[in-house]
Amino acid sequence: MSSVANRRPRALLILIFILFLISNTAYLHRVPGLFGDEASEGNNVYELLRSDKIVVRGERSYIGPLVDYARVPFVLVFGYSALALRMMMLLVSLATFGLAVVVFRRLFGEEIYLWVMVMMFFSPTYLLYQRLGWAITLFPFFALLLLFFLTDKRIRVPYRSALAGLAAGLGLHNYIVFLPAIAGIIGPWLITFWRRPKELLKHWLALLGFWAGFGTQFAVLQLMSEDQGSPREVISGFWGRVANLPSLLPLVSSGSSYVARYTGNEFSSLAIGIITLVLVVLVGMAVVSGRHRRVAILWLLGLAIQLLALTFIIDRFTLRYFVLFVLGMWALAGVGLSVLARRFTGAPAVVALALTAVTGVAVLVPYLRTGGSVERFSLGNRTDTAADFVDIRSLVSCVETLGPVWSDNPHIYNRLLYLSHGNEARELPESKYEAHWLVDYRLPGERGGVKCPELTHFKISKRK
Amino acid sequence: MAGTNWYRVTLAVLFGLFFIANAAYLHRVPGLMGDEASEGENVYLLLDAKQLVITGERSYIGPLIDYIRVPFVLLLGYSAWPLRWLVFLFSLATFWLVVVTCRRLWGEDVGLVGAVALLFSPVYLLEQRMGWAITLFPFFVFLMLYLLTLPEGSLLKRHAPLLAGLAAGLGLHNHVLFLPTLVAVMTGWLLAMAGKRRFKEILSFWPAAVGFMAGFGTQLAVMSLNRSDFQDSLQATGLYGDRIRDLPELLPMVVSGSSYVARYTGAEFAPSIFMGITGVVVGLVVLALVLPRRRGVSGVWLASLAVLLFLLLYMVFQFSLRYFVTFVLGMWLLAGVGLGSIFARLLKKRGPLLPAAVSIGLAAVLLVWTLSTTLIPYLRTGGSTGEFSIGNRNDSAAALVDTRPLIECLRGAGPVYAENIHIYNRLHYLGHNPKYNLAVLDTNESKKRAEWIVSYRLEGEDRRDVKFEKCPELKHWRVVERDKG
Repeated sequence: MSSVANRRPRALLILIFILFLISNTAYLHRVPGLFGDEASEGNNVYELLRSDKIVVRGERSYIGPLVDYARVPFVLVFGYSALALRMMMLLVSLATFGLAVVVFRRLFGEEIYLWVMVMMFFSPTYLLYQRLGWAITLFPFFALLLLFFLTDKRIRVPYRSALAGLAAGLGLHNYIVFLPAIAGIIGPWLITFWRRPKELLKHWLALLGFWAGFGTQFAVLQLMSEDQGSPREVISGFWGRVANLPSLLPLVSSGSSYVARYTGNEFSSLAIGIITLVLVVLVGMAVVSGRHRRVAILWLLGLAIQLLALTFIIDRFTLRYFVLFVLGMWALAGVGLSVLARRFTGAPAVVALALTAVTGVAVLVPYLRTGGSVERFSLGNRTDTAADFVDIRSLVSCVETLGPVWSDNPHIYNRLLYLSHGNEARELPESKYEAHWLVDYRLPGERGGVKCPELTHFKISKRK
Repeated sequence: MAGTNWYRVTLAVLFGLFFIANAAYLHRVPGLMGDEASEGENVYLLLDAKQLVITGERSYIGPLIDYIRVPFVLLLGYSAWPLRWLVFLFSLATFWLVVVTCRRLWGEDVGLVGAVALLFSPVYLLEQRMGWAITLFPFFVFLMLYLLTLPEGSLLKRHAPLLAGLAAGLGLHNHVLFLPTLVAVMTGWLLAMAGKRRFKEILSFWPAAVGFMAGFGTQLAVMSLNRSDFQDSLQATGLYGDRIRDLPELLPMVVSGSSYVARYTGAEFAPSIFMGITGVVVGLVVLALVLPRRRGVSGVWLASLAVLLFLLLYMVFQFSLRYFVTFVLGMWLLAGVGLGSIFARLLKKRGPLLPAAVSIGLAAVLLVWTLSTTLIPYLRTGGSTGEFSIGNRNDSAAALVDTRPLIECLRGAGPVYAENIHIYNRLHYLGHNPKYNLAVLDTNESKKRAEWIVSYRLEGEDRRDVKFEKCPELKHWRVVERDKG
């Protein structure tokens, strides 16, 4: 009997994993369309392969090059395409899933961890944003890796601490905006030493590991600060951003803005309100009535620290920055959900399936039909455009028949440049003045271009 | 002598001698060097900077030492003192690291003689008192070796891989030419582990990579982003064969210490002397490979020295004395092991007094040798601007001449400039010290503002322009009115 009882949760986990694999692999090469920042990071791989020296700078001074080195074999196998960048992220996503199994089991126990897994990995935010092939996609991986080492009891303390530090350092090396996540994890972890501060001193080697991961990037940040804006101005806008948080949080927590980035359509206010309310109630249940409420409270505290630190260091609201916070919220909501539904053995798989279906219906089906949108959507105190994610395959096919093309829009240009590597038909001229055609977005209501007028989201005009 | 008070007493005496030898005349022997001053200038820039400084004097010299120099400079002012006091403290730490490491590797008696041969060798006494980054090489080498040879019961043992990696990384951060030494130490360690078939222990050392990156990470980025100031070396790797060919000419001069002495005095040893010393050192090294019970360790040490030498020759674009210090010290240590082994073999039923007497006697002989060949002539002459050979090229002793008479001459003399970068660096660094009352022009200022131009007075130089000189009595310097010199 007991072996049967053991086998059941394992089968459930396998089922959830298969669903996770399918939902993250489906249409990976084309949904969403390759976007400008993704292509720009991909261009770094091209530069890296052409360089005759060690490259220590990523796409920006605040993005480390480690991910570029990791991308190299994928680009060599799959060529300069969206798939090359995303396959790597898919593998990391699978590793993240594995880490989450271990970490959530340690934190929330055997009965609850699957709920946490399901709510996090099948949230619309994960399904829609963790398939993108840019550096920031690695945040959940590094956050869980850090938690993995912090909660591990098998590895000896000096090495465990050093590895935890290394995970934090590499996460920060990867992208400076990982700093709030580190604060959100380390803050509550430090609290666990409240009554035994001497124990904390044993972990001093974490600093060494951290520096091993972040040292090179720290130097790059110091030496190449021209793309970092003005920290003083960013800090001075902190309270303004805090004041705007209430208008942003429902949009991101509910997943509305993440969906709108694909489709151009936000959820209705009612839907946003209901989803957010349900999440808040579930989070409330997790910290009030769950069996692991001490962990849940620390988790919530970590999220609060992360949110405030994030709001402090970013210059404006951007969807990608809030992914980890939203995933953390959904994970905690999973703890709350377990309070309600833990008697139903197969329920996590049902919830996973339901969340996948909802995301499929709300995003994938419309996206496949329309190829995305160039509409704008709200991010609380500003609007953003869905144009970044539009399908570009028809544009690329058109460009291949035209000859020299150019785009003044850096997002379009970056995409064309990345896809042109190793493909003569797509080669871009050295300067705008050698181009025959210009590419831009075709905004709603605008007429098609002189070439390929059938393109829904792009227009091609002759350079004058 | 093991386990007796004699060992402790001997160590105390040796440490006392070492302390005196390294502290004596530290502020003026040798005179402040241009490169030393240039590194000191970095402390000034660091204190003046509005953001965190992460580049040292060069892209391949890390800034950590500059940060450590800060309190010394604040306390002692801009002079040779603060730069050398810091290095002196490192040297004192090195003493104990060397003694302990040699004891672990060759045992108490033989190891102590080896340690003395290194610590009191002319090369150590003459080069390890200079306040520049490269002086820290022996410290980092022996810190690594100390951590790699920790006994099982040590509290630090479980941290050893991480800390050894950190020491290696910081050594390389400090100066990129530490790389050959680092590779040599790694080679030696791997050979020793493989010889004992402790392959698992090698694998369990993976955290060393983490420690290494913690020490070297920032510097790796700095070097990758700023390669302009080591382009010469990168382009000169093709001349590796030439440097190997010229090695036989160089080695006797550096191993004997002749070139290091000449850098102070301008006078090399006679060929018979430097060949004789080299012969003795080589002979003792051979004995170190044959006589001791732990001759395997000596073999590994020698193999590591060979790795160090050949990698160093690959990296450097020209022979320069400072690069070879670690190699020469390693040779002298091995020679000391050879010497210690002779006594250990000859006098098997010895009392504890004999190894003590051999160690202290060797230290005394080496001290007297350096005193008579270098310190006394230097104090008498204030150095030299003559040239000396380092195998395939000549170098100038002018870098170490006494700067005090020059500073006295320039005190309150008005705007001064020097075309020679080494002189200029010294003046500029000392110019930050109000005590000297120097008005040194900045590099971006018009030289026409200068009232005085400083240059070296070369040996046997024509003195027709002496009427335009401010201090014609200076032996090694010319301070001439601008446009008249």
